[in-house]
Amino acid sequence: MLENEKSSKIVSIRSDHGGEFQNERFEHFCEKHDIKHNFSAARTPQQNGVVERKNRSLEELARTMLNENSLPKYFWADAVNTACYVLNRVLIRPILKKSPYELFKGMRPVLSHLKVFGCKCFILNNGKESLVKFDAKADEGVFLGYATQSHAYRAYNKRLMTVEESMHVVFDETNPKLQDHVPKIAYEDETALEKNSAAELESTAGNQSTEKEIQSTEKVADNNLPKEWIEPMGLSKGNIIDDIEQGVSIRRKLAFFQHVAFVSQIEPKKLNDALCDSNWVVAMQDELNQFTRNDVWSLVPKTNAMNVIGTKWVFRNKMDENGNIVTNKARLVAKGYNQEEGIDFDKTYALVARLEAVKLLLAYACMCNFKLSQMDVKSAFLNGFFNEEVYVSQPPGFEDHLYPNHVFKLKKALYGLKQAPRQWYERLSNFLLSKGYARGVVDKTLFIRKHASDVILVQVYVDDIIFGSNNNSMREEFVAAMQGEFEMSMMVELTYFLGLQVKQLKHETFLS
Amino acid sequence: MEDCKEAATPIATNCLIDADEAGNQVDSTKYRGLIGSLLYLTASRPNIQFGVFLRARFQSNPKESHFKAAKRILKCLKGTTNVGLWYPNESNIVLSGFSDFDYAGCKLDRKSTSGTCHLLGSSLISWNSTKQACVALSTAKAEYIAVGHACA
Repeated sequence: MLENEKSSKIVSIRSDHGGEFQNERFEHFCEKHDIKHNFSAARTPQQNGVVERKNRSLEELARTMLNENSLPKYFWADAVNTACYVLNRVLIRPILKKSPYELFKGMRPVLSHLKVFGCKCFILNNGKESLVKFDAKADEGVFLGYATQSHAYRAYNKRLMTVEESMHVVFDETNPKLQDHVPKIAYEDETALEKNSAAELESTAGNQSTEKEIQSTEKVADNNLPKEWIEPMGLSKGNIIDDIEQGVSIRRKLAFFQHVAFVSQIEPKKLNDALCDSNWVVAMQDELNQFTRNDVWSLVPKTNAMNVIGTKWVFRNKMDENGNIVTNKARLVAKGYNQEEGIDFDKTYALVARLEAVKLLLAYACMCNFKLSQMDVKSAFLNGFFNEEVYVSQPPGFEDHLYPNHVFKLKKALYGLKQAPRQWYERLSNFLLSKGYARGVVDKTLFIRKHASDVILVQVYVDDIIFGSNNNSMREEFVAAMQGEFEMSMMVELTYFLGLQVKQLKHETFLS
Repeated sequence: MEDCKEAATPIATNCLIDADEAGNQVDSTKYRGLIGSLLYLTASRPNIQFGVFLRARFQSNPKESHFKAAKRILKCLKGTTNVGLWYPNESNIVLSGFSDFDYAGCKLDRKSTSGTCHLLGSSLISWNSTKQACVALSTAKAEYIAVGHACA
């Protein structure tokens, strides 16, 4: 065929010593057509470099294509064929700036018919089986590639369990498995028992878990290539694909995300975007749980006299000192700009540590030879107590469907309220003063407690707290006290504070 | 800016920054954004303090020459990413403050610029560079103002 098309003769063929090349029939063929057949030296694939390299690219493509769609491995031949088909049409040779197809045929390839390998498709019955009036006109299938001899698609028909070539195929190239197939394996294992006991009695042996099944079919495939279709098909091969299609229940997915600490890389601008992303829904739920735990508010019916302050969600990605996103933080904030002075708030001024004070503390700590630690109060402002009566609306997207017209009466402060920082400082300083700490005379955010020659220093920067002591038991006492009163997160040696990177070494401290 | 050359200092020795009335206007929002970011950095980098405050005086009407000079600070920052404040461990806990000034340093209104710093032992803990609020008629007066800054 090649000879006819190009009207030139094949002079020689090079191959390795594989049985498919080195046999009598092939020898006869070569003799008949005057083709030289030379072999690479035994066990020296290097001599056949071009072919081996291409083979590798094709195999790797095929492997990813199969795994991407969680297809069973016995579709390998189709995957390799499709990879080759697409590469020949798409890959541009660097020097000639043409695809192999163009070089060979002299015209540019048509690409409009290319589809995603392994995607879901629907094969029209088109008269090959007689249908009753309300039978489905099409069968669901998996797209496997392009027919070599006719202008058609190859697809695996899930109902008939056969591979068909047809032109009448509709494709669904969206891939629902992209997100789902990672948690899938865990899901399979966990529920293998349930499934066996329930609906899938007919093939208990074959259905222990998907993985096993694929392995077993692979064995069959290795021994006996042409037959691999018929035998395993009869069992429950169709089930593998069906199961994989079905995806995972939402609840399981949430559990998975919590375990793996999976984070979203984007910050949604609108609430609706966030509600579509499960990572952010978890983050929002987390925030609301925090509210319940801190007993922040109670639901009350709305009256006309109330000045209700709106709420909104703010979405932020938190980064570590190297700029990697570590958590998705959803924060419910009150629209504090709607507050009226005298009614909703009184004093708003809150004390904050000066940066000089922080540096002074660092230098002092270094001289006195003790390490500073840092901790952070979870949702600090939610701890501040409230003197005024303030009402806020229900969080958007999480309204109570039983009482949609109710509003929340705040017992504690909320982010975004004008007095929130002040109330928090108030609460924290009262707590520390009651524990015997003395407030600094000049710097009101520094708290000191002395005990003979031992001293503990606590510097408060809103919700970040740095502390250090030359006595370990005093430190631990402080930590325990704080943990008892507030919900704290991370208690680590000071490394990153207010954008400053701090390195505490044995005899020196480095700040950059 | 990412692959610019590094500079050792934030400001050229022969640099005379003036209002540059004749120069080309640049986007003042961008200039202010740059100055704002640099001001934030002065919290941990005393070496650019004076340079940044000098550039910051031209935010109302920035010209190309000012923008170029501001970019010099970025070059300097690139060359000094590996330096930081160093707090050694020592027994000498004495707080000492220093102040200095340049007499009539600002060529536009002849006001002096004072600079102050404080050290605890040999650890630098605070620093500042400000143009004085009034025109000092003698070096002694400028000195007094600078010392006043240091003690405030």
